[in-house]
Amino acid sequence: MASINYAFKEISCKIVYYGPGVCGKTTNLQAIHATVPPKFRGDLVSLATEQDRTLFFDFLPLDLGEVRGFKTKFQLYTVPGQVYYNATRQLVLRGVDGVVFVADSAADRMEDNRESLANLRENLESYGLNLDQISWVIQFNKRDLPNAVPRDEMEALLNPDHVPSMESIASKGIGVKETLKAIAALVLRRLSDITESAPAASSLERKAAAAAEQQVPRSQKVSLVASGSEPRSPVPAPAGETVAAAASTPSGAPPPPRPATAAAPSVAPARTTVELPDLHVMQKCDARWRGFRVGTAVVEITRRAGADRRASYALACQATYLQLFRRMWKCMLQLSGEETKVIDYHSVSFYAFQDVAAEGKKGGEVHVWIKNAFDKACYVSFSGFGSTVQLTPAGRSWFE
Amino acid sequence: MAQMPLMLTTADQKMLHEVLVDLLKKSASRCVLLVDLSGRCLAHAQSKEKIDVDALAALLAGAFSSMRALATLVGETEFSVLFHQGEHSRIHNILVDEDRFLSVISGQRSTMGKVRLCAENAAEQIAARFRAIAQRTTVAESPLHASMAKDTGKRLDEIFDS
Repeated sequence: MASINYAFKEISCKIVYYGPGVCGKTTNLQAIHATVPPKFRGDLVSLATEQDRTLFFDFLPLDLGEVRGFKTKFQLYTVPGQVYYNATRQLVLRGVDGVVFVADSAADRMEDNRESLANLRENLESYGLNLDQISWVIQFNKRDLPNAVPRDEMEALLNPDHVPSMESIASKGIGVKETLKAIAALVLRRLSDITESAPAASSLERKAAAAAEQQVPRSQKVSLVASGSEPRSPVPAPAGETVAAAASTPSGAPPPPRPATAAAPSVAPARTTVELPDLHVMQKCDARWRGFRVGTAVVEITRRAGADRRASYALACQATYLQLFRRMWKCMLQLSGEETKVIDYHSVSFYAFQDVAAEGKKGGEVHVWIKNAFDKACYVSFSGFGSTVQLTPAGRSWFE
Repeated sequence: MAQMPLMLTTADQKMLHEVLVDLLKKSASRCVLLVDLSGRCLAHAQSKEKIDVDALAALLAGAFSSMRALATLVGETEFSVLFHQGEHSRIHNILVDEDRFLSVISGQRSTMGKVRLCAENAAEQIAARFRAIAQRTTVAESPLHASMAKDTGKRLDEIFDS
């Protein structure tokens, strides 16, 4: 079962190389490990006997980086091929998304290939699966052997369903990439189909989910206090945690960093009705790091649907650093007179406090404290709904 | 019927991260991982040192799965806790639900009792969350792009040829 993490925009899929003993499963992983640059892969973990026979499994994580907006990761596993390690093979198959069946092309191994394929079917059944429900390909390995069985014969024996198949000489790295490409494509195509066919949540369901989120017992919350005002509706904060952020107000006078204040969770913040205007603002500003200009950031704020007092706004930020790195953040804020709640976000969480809107003034200040999943924080402020937005990156943590 | 992938929304991830960070702090541990039994690290939190969480998750899942098989052999349905003790480090694993476990790697700063207590509390919170996730019938966020598979192939070409 693959996992899709929408917070980190990350997909993780498990691919298992299966086949009879000494057919070249580990060799496939070794070839991938030798070819792929270290920044795209982790270490090859091998649990092998002294004779280099796989005892439990081999494991190689691949990180392809961002593909179509999702960080795509594959975990490649092999199983021990020897007949008496079946319990281990069964364990490794748990949660599998794709299987590469590595067949040995030697003439005297055809029966082993057939038995191993039958064993794969049996072991999948123990998880209530069959080969039709997962993505799989066949790799005819060791094509350089003098007694290699012709491909047609192997296809007839092992591939009656005509799944994608390819020839390889894994010891020389030939056909290894093609096999990985084929299985990766099948796994991701299946995943795309599943996510497309599943019903999408409506905006109301999303809001309900967000509301339910507020009920989840939390161990850590953060409060934000607008500069120049007393704390009015802080979100409960963990004791001892401080907001290490400094921001410039629109007037240019930097307020002192404020510590987050702990508040009793039982005290519900008072809400007041407030008119929040339609808004579409886009502003470009410098991104600074330790006082140096290192790039640019573009902030866009748009009013979303909702005319009631809980109007919501979408905030998107795209920052480019040194012409090298580009990051995009999106989130949705829900503003009311006394507090601003996060109702949806990507990659970063936003807590905002509207300073003067509660007094009925349009064009109040909004201060947003941004905290990403790694507890790095920065502080931005923007003022004058409908007019200008001022983004104030607060030092190094913006970029980390 | 096709297997549904586990879909963690931003709210799910945020909650998991908060629980793990809390556990890390309270138990004064070095690293905390939420791992599924297929070997994926679903979420983790660690102190300053960097541990290879991918490899760790794969190996821990292997150990945990073996322990389950062991339990069956000796007539138990489950061993819910797995513990490793080293000279400087300890690994405490606790089952969250059928498919996931929580792993706490601690050093000499923390006591075993505290780790166990905090881990049990965290496991309960996480289990409740995954029960809610399992009941979802909709995709919370956008589907994957249709050309994802094709682009992944191109990406693999680039990586292998680089």
